[in-house]
Amino acid sequence: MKDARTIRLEIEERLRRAREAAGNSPWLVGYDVNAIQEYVTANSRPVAMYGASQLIKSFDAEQLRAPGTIFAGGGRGLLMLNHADAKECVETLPGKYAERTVGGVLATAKVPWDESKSGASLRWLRLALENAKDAASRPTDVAPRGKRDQCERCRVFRAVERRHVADEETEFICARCAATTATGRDEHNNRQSLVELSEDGKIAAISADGNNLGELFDSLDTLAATAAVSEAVREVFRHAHAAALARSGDKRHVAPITGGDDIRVFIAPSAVADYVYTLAREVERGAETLGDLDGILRADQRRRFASLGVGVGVVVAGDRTSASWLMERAHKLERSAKSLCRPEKNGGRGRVRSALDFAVLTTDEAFSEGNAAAAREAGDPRPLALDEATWLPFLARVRALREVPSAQRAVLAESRNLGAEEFANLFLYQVARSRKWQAWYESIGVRWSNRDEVLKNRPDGATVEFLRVLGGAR
Amino acid sequence: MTRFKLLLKCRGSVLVGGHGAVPTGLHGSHATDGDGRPVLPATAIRGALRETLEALLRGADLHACDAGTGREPGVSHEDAAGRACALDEGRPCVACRLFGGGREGLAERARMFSGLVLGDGRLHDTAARWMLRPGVSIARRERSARDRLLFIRRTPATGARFLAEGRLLDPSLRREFEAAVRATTHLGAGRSRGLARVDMELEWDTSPETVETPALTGDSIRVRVTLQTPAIFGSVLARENLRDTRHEVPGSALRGAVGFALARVTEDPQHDPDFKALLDEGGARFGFLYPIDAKGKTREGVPSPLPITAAACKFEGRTHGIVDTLLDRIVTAHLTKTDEVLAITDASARTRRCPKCDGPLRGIAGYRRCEEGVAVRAATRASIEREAQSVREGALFTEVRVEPGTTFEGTIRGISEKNRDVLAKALTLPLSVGRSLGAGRGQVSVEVSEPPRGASLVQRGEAFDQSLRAHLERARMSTARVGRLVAISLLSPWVPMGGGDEWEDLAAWFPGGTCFLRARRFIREGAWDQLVGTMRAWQAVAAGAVYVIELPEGTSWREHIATLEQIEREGIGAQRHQGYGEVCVFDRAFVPTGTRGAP
Repeated sequence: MKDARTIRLEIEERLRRAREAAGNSPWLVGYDVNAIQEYVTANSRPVAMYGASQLIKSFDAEQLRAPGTIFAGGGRGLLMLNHADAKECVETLPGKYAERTVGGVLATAKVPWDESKSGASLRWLRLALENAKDAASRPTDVAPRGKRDQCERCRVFRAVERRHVADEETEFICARCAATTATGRDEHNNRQSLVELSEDGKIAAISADGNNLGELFDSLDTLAATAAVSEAVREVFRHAHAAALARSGDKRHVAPITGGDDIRVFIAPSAVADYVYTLAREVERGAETLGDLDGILRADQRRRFASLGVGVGVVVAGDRTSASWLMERAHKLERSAKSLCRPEKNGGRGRVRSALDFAVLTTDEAFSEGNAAAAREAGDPRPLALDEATWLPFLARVRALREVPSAQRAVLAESRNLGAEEFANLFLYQVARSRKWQAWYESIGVRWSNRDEVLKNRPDGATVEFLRVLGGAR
Repeated sequence: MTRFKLLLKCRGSVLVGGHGAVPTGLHGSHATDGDGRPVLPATAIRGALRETLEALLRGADLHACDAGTGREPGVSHEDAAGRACALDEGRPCVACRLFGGGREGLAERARMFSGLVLGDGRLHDTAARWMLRPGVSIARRERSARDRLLFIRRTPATGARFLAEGRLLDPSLRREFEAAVRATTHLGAGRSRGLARVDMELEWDTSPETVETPALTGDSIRVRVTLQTPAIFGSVLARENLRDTRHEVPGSALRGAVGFALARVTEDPQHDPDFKALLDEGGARFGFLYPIDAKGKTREGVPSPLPITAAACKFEGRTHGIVDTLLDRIVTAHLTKTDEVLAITDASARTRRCPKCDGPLRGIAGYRRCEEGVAVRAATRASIEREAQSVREGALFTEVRVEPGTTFEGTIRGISEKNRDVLAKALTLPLSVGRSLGAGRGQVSVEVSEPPRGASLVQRGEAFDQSLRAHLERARMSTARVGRLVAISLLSPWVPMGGGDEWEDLAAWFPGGTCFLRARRFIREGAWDQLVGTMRAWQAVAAGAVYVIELPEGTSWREHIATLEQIEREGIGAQRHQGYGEVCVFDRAFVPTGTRGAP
């Protein structure tokens, strides 16, 4: 990971070049990609998702080489230009982006830069960009005339070319899918399907996002601080993602978007536990290490930055499930996880920096507005804090439960069919006769002979469900 | 059209997999309903009946295609893939006429895809629900149980009875249906293990259906439908093996439900003048029906999607209330100097934070009168290849259904005097909306009432101006545009007529006007034309979009009242007969509570 001094020097150099380019009438220009996740996951093939990410990445990289660019990454950018160039940039950049990404939509905005009121200028740009995102140009739409000419991959656009896939298999695809697939093809990313990542027919989709970054950016009132924090956040997340993959044994994965503080990963379910915990630890550690970014941040800004954490949503489902559908649900769970990371949450035990929510989607799963969390039973502990005090004991409970035979775990399902007393009778009987249950209770520090404690501490929904994530449940 | 009840009595137990989540520790489970009770899926009952009927027909030397594939058994798949059945002298075979086939459009002169509507079999007068059936896999060589191969399945309790209700839409198929019922003895999996034995009893219900005919008076009505069975409203973007559902009833689905219901009781629907007057493109406009929850049922107002400008607490969502940001966005669009930014930051502090917990706000999607969200359930289904007794290639898919009990509300507009009687009659008929109607999906109960009468356009305009003026004054900005800005929000998706900038369509209504601000998303919309079996798709602006039009200097929206009332009354853009393009001028959602003026 880059250190704070390197980040500061890079930003100062970019600022110097930008000021030179802007001359006496500096304007700030911002850009932001619209619906980036839909764009990237429209085609479920890993190679196409990777290709779509690469197209966005190459667009950012091209902007970063321009003299006026202060920051560009993750589909967002900040430039300082003179008025004429700013005007041209705002007008032409969406077209260039659409051309590069075959129809992607980009929002741009410009505001005058006033060095003496830098905070106000930056705020103005944020507000203007917010309006611009909803007013961005109409997307290129080459709708299929019917089912027969619908792209067989994304199902959104009209198919224009037939491509060879494997052996004698071909597919009829649209221009965008052709471009993303061609871009994504290289020796490391030639997977055809998410199925190649799965275990026992299951795949995990992970959506992660930095916590409270909106408030952090709102507090930044200089260009240097805004650019440096953007760069630092990107660096922290890039490093944390790489460390998390390494910790989880470098399982096969597809990480379509890793720009800024957004992480999206498809990975084998057995890697989830190590990945999410390491990601959270490394994000927290990385932000603490970078400190005040070598003097760029004030004390209050440094405190906010150093408390950076991450909200993580994980969905595990069948490996034939649509990638975008999976990621939508993971994103909703990520929001649920983030809701725990507030000062007043966590029962007064202090602020949670990072948290996780997860769900295993099976057939007949009920959810509301796509939110699996909405259908849970009362007392379910999710979302869970990703800290030592909560996560590690939880994981230990789950792993110990693996040793209980599945036929014994099946008894837990009876709680929905039997009355409370009848279920208690059945469950206590099973615990009394099963050495494995007794061992499980002993491992979590509960006396299995104590009736009330056994019932109170029986495995909850989160524990049973995470066992399905790890595998070994069936 | 005759109603019936089909009683299914299990001899032993049954096992229909795939429809229910397998609880932890079990290795297989029979299908469950939303309350966790065993259920016999309509598709399984229909499949068993169809298989029997096909055998009976072939035994009588009659043509019967193989499970709706349009080919006789034994014909290779490649030769006949996707063929619509025409085995009965050019007509679909009897099995296809009764149970439907793989046909995308209606057959010539046909009025329905399937002559039978049959719902799920619900557990009937049986106290016991479930039983666990342990089994052991035996190693042949050792003649003993294999290690770790104890498996447990959950099936309905022995002797469980299920009741399925349905309608025979084509009375000419009654004899064949009764024969299939009498001859069917097995349903579901596990036949070699003693499962799947069932006895079926059919009881025709000849009692008259008494549904009061609604008295329609004006040119528009409010319609409230409540799902009696799960429903699937097909989304335009069908993904690989996922059939997702929309969370609203598109106008085309409501129009289709009325059309199919009327067609069944009309002599010659294609040439019936009343039928055509109601359902042709120039006929009534069938609006989108949007979900309302228990709280929403007691409230007035439009049920449509929230404006795109709506925001709610980032952490607690709409339980902390909804804040609209349009006025803030208008103020932002007024900015000309950096100095003004500080003033608007102070002025809009109240609407930039959650009013309840002071947390940050974020954009929120959803429906105005549905706080709890739409409850849906995903089920995985498979089409079984009879010969191989395994899942048909590419026919394993997950389908998402809206749960029964969900209520939707909307309007039907543009009802001419001569259409009233025929529409009133249609609304008394059994209506089903969405897909898979033959499997009993999408059956609804209907309530009809007067459309809501809210504040007048002038009242809403004045309230908007008042709030906008206050907002601008708080930000110490010019109020010169107040009275010249018109806010138009989409209550349903809008299909612009032209292919360019959609603003040009709107501009035609307001000569000299400019687009001051717009907040919108584009979506793919479309509908199946079931008569011909083709899908029509188009790009639309999503419901909830907001346009703020700036009228020329020296004018006021008051000079455009007739135009504004016309676009509210008639809508804008294409496909208005399917409910597209409904708009609201000076939506009350933009005005902070307390300053909305008269209700």
